Amino acid sequence: MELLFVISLLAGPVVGWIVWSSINKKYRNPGARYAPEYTAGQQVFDLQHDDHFRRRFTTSATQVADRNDNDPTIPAAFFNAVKK
Amino acid sequence: MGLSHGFDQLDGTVMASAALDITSDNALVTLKCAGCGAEVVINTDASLHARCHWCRHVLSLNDRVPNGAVPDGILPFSISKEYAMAAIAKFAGDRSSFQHPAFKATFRPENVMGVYMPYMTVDGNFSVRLDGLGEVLVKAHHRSKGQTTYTVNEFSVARTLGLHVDDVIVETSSNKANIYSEVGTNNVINAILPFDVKNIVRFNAHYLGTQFTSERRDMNVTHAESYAVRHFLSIARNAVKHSIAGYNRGVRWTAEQVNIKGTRWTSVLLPVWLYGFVENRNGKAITHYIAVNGRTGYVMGSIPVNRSKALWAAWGTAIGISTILWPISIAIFIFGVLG
Repeated sequence: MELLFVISLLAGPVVGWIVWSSINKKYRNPGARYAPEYTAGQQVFDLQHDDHFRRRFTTSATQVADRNDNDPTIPAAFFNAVKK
Repeated sequence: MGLSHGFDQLDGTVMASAALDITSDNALVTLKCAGCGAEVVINTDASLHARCHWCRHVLSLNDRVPNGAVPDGILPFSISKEYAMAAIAKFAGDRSSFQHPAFKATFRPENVMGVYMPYMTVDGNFSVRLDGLGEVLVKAHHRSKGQTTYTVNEFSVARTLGLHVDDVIVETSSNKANIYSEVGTNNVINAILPFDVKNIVRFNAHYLGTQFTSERRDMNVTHAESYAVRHFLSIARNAVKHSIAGYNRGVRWTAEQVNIKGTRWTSVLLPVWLYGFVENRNGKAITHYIAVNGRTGYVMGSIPVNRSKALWAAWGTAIGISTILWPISIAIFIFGVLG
């Protein structure tokens, strides 16, 4: 019952916000970019894994904090490039 | 031009001749636009007057600046102006409901301009190390009041890999490289990449002819390297994607290290049909572009939005739905929660 109350209260503003952002997304294309990961020729070799268990914990977050594996435009906190 | 072989032997930074040397071609003249400051290259053998491809301001031969580098190669247009006009008209037509009124009033697809944009193609031989934290869901706990908590296993995640990449395209016009600018929509121009750069031919000023202009390259390899490294990292992240699929709550990459063994740079001019519109919003000029890939016909663009109309649509939808649902929520509150 409480869930239904919250849904009926927030549905209007949420749908309004979706309308606003979908108009901007369709007209402005803010996320459009060159995606070399899909278009440039590439050959991967010597891929190595080194993963270790750290801990078990409980959280209310639905995914890892500051997730960036699915968005290459979000850089890692530390970055270093070395030229030979 | 035979520049796509021997990746494993790439060692150090190799530049094709024009990527290295700043030379001049007497027929080419670079003019600084008095309207927007862009540096536009024209072929004076074929044309003595031109308009800026960004703002359509008429260029003056009195505003001549040094030419900069002549590119190694050029990819000629294969898409006609008529095709580009039709593509731009369709792109704008599909987005007509909330167009800015000034854009709608001045929209003329025939004002599209053919521009050779300066880029560099980069072949790379490098290795990458990615470090981060990944999480695996053990169990979801559904609590009362609709709350859910998750028991999670956390792992440190590391990947190392080697990569050979072929023909990554890097921006070499500084006003276009900054795609996160708040006053431009430059991202849409790079979104029409890639091009079939294997078909580039040796540069000749006659490709500019009377119909096309070019943008002066104002970034050298040293400046463009940081953008190339970003592209290398995008490729590396995508290359390891399948190997982290088990982390069903995702991975946060915390450190990225690139060790560049060798790169090979070629400066090229790539064909773009460009339509520009400057929107003035609260005294701030925002330039919108619609760009058509001059080889594939792929279109991407930014259309200025009639914000008041879009706000009315959003508010109207919100108010309409709330008018129906809020009485229900009040009834639930009175009879359900309080009762």
